[in-house]
Amino acid sequence: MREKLFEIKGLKTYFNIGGQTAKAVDGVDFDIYKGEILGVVGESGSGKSVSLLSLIQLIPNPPGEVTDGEITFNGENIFNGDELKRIKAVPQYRFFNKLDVSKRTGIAFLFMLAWFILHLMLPIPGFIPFLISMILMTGMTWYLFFNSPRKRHERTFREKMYTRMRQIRGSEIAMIFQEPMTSLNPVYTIGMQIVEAIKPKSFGEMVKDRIIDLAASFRNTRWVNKVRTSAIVAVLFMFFGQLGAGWSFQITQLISQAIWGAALPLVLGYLMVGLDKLISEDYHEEYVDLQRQGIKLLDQVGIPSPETRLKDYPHQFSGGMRQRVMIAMALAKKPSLLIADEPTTALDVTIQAQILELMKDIKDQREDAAIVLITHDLAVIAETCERVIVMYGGKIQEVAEVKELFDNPLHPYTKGLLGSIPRPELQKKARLEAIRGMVPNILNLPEGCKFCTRCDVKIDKCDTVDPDLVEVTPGHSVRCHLVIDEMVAEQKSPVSVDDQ
Amino acid sequence: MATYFLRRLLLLIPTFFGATILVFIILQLAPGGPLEQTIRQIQMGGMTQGEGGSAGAGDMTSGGGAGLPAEAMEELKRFYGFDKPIIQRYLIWLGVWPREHDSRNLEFGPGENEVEKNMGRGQWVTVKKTADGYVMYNDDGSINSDWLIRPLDPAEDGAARALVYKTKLSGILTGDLGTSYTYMQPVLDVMKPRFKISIFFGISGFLISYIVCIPLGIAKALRHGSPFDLFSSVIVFIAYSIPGWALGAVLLLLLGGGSFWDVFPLGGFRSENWEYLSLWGKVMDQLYHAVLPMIAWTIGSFATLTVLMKNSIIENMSQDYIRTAFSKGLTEKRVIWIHALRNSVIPIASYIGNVIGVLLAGSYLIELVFNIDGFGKLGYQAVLDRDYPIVMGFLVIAVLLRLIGNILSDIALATVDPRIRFK
Amino acid sequence: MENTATVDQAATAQQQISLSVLKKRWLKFKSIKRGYYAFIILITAYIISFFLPLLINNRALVVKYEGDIWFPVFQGYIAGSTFGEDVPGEANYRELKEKFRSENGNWVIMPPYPYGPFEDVTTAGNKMYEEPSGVHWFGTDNTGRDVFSRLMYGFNISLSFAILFTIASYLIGVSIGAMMGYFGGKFDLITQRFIEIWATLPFLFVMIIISSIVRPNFFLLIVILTLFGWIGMTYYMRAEFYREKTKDYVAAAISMGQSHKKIIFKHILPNSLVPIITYFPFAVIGGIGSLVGLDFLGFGLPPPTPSWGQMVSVGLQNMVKWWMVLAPLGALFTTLLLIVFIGEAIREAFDPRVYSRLR
Repeated sequence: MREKLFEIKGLKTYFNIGGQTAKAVDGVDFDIYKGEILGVVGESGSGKSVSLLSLIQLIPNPPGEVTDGEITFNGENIFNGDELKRIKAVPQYRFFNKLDVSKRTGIAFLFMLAWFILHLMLPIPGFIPFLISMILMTGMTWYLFFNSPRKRHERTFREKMYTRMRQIRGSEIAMIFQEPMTSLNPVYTIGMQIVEAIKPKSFGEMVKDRIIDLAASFRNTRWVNKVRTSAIVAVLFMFFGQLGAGWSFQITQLISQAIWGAALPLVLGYLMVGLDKLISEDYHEEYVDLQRQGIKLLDQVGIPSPETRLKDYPHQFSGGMRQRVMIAMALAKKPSLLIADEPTTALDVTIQAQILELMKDIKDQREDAAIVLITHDLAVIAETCERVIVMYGGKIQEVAEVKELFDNPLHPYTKGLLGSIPRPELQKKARLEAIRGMVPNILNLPEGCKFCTRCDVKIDKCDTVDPDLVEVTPGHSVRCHLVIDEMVAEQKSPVSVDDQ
Repeated sequence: MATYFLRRLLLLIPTFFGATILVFIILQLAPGGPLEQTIRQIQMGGMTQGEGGSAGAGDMTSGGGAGLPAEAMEELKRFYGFDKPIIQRYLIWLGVWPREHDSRNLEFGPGENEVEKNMGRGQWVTVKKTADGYVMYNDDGSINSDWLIRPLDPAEDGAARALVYKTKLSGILTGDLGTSYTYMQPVLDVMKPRFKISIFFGISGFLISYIVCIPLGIAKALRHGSPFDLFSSVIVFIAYSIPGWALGAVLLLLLGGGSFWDVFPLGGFRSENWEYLSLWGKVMDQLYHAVLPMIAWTIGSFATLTVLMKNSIIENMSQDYIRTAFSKGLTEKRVIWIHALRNSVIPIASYIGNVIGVLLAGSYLIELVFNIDGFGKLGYQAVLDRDYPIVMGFLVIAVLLRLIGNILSDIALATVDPRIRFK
Repeated sequence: MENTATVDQAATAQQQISLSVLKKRWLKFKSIKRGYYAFIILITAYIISFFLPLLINNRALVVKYEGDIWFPVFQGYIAGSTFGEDVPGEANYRELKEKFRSENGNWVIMPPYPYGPFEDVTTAGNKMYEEPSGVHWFGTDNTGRDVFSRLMYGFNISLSFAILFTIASYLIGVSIGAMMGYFGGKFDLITQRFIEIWATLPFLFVMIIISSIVRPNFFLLIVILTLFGWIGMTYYMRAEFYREKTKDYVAAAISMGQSHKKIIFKHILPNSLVPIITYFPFAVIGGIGSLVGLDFLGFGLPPPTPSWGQMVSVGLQNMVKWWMVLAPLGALFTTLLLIVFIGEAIREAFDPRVYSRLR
């Protein structure tokens, strides 16, 4: 058996949407082994992305929250849901816990208003006492209505968890997202964003980098161009100078304006060169080294002429190229796990194949690196993955090796998915067997089996009782009453994989 | 990008001309201009002196300067520039048509063809009337060509009259805004000290609002829904609901020593004895006077900017590239201050130009409330006094500032957003 | 049992989906309490303010004098001598009431607040600079007029003015902006240049110039303000129409050979209503602000129209008489705050922002 990289137990991620709770991930258990390529498949809204994002706590909070579960990474516990539950048992506010937020705010406002009116009624001794009283009132209101003993515990818990997570993100787990068009920061160069993945630079260092860049570009500008720029600025200076001086056209004035104008770009240029000289030699070396690493990464993901592309902005790249940049950034620190969240969905088919090839190449660089590929495209799964998790309605429905899953799908949903792949070898007249119906609203999932609203073979039990995930053969688990019943009929005792 | 800016710069020219022509026409064609007002004043003065003010109002409304001698009318018209067609007046104002100045009247007695005239600085000239016009001779008999002469309508007794004058190109394009009617000084000289005051408030108000609003907006966005956010939202709502000058009036009433507390001075830009204060005293006095007007000045942009910043940060924090940045393992501080902030200031950057325009436009009311002799109050007073050179000068500067503001916005936008730079 | 519950839930969900978009937004707006209550209060106050002559007036509602019944509120000017009063000009109904109290058969019914916005020191019994009291709730001003009464009439005038102004500038702004966005090309370019010139003019300053030349009345002032007010909306509408124009449903409508008019008004406009509706309250705020500002400068509505700005400007000349400043400013502030609340709630209902934060 291979070593476990990640162990996830009972993971729950809930979103608060307009006062309602959406159970995007509702108790998911799975492991990720070192060196494997794991596929996660499901329709949109099935919770496949969210469960992997929960793994590295990239869940926006609010509105979402990883509420329960346990995540173990390389034997180290990085999220413990029990601790969070303990914290949540503490009442939220110090006083008046029964009031909801809007009532609380209203009453606090009335309290402040009453205090203020009281002030107007009573004789006011002076401005300073009035101010002091107002400040006191504000503090008092906060203490009475908004002071929360739970908050501090919750904050320290989160702070600790996120701090550890940020160490893990990037260096141990890297992620590639679905939307290459929006996943890069539009206002920074590709170079800055790649170098940032290797070593984040402080604001001062970014200024230094800028000076180095400007000085270099000034040094590299040909004299012809420098003279031309100077001439243009000189003419502009003369024009505006004369405008200010009332078109005097005095020769001395004109000359001085022209000289000032012509000197300005050169002075600025040499200023940059001078500042560049002030920056330490070590920093220069580090700068060049980081640039070289960035170029190497871009080269590795197959971006032509990486030296010049490094200075370009994201909007100058095509979608496929941007996804390559994303991959380059993900590879910067040679992580042990790469999560690819539908990396090819937004791309052309030809580019898709290239990107998938690229991702496979990563394995050549680090033998024990694992890849999780989230997709709704079973063809991609078949081509790249070793093991597959099928998700639906925030729960794992089936887990199996790729070959096993394609040869012997057990869950009606998996069967449906496989049935809806167009196959040219079949007769043209045969209709595709699409799964009927729509994915149910995430706020309104069925009580029992999540798939029961669309299942063709459902039995009464399915509506009310959610089946357990049971292991049918080693490495092949499924969550379906029919399968469980069949196993019971075959006198095998179904073993639940679910923790609870 | 250079072409983009060049185009923007070139577009300024028609905008500038369009705006000035519009106001010029409104001013010049409107009734009750400076001419009518002066005539009325002269009539009133004449009446009160001569007839003890017994004349009825009917005379005054008859207009057209009925009671004034034709020559005085003409003189007045010439002074206010109404003796020329409106297009010519606009061109003169622009400075592309020669402006007459140093003009002197010549009157030829009946049958006379020669007049001697003192042209100042002891220079006497002789003007001779010939068949095809007038010729001017110096003392020594040589022809003087420094001066121009044009005939005027003959006087009532039939005597020929002429005007001697010099011309020069002097107008807005040569940096000359004309001479104020009420102050009898060049408009620029009148404006300069007042402009300084407005600039003081404008720039410090601008800085204060940006220094306060950007961090406040960020803090509100990051602590959305917390008591701090709710509390500051109340302040923002209030700030949005109350116009700056109205807030100024309330503050003045509460803290200016009228009916309630006496904490701040009632108005003015500085104390009267400012000149004699020590340096520290000067600074404190200035600040002391500036507190209330400054609050009034900044309150308007305060609400808008804070909300803009907050919404912008909130929107950007939910963008995909923020997720990418976090997935790289960056610290929260870095993601906010380097990734989210730079994108969030894009709408703020395009607001910078607005602020410069508002610097003047919003100031009339506040300057009136606090009795500050600023730029806005000057413009307001000029409209009341029908001081058209100042009105037009005010307008030119306001329009220019607005246009410069637009360009500044563009530059700021291009600095923070490379997508615009590479268009 | 549970099964039926699920079905019920599904049914309500289905119902919610089938509600029209506008209805949904109205429900959402209603759920934002602050905005909803502000809306109720403002609308009620506005409707009541149309019946102000019945509530706040110095003219009596009903007078019974020697067997005849008079309705001075509706009849207007009635000379004092009609009721046997020894006053020049109009009857003083408050004194009349006192007088009739002792007389049998004659009586006067006064409005609940018996002071009008126009009666000044010339009316017997009115004094200048009276402090707020039970009689004059917000005191009297420099000419002895009742401040509270003027405030209330000013509320109706300000709000009516702002609403009319907003509607007028919307009509122009929306149609021009829509045309710019829809037709594009040369029309767009030329109009844009024109708007640029127009927007460059310092609005308040030009307003002052125009108002100083022509003494405006209520409607003329709306016209003048609208001359400048329409510009703001064109930007939004132009952008909306540019965006919507490229969408498929417009292409479908064009391919079906529908007229421009129909496409603009029936297809695109309903889809670009969001900025129109969400900016309406804020435009009203701008309208009230401009009116009060102009009144303050003395270029607004002609006196003796009860206007807040003019009241403030008089008040500021008498700083010791605090009620003359605080009362109109308080009214202005309260009104604007209510509208801000409404505007915020409308914006939240039509254009909700989801707050999400990664860490």
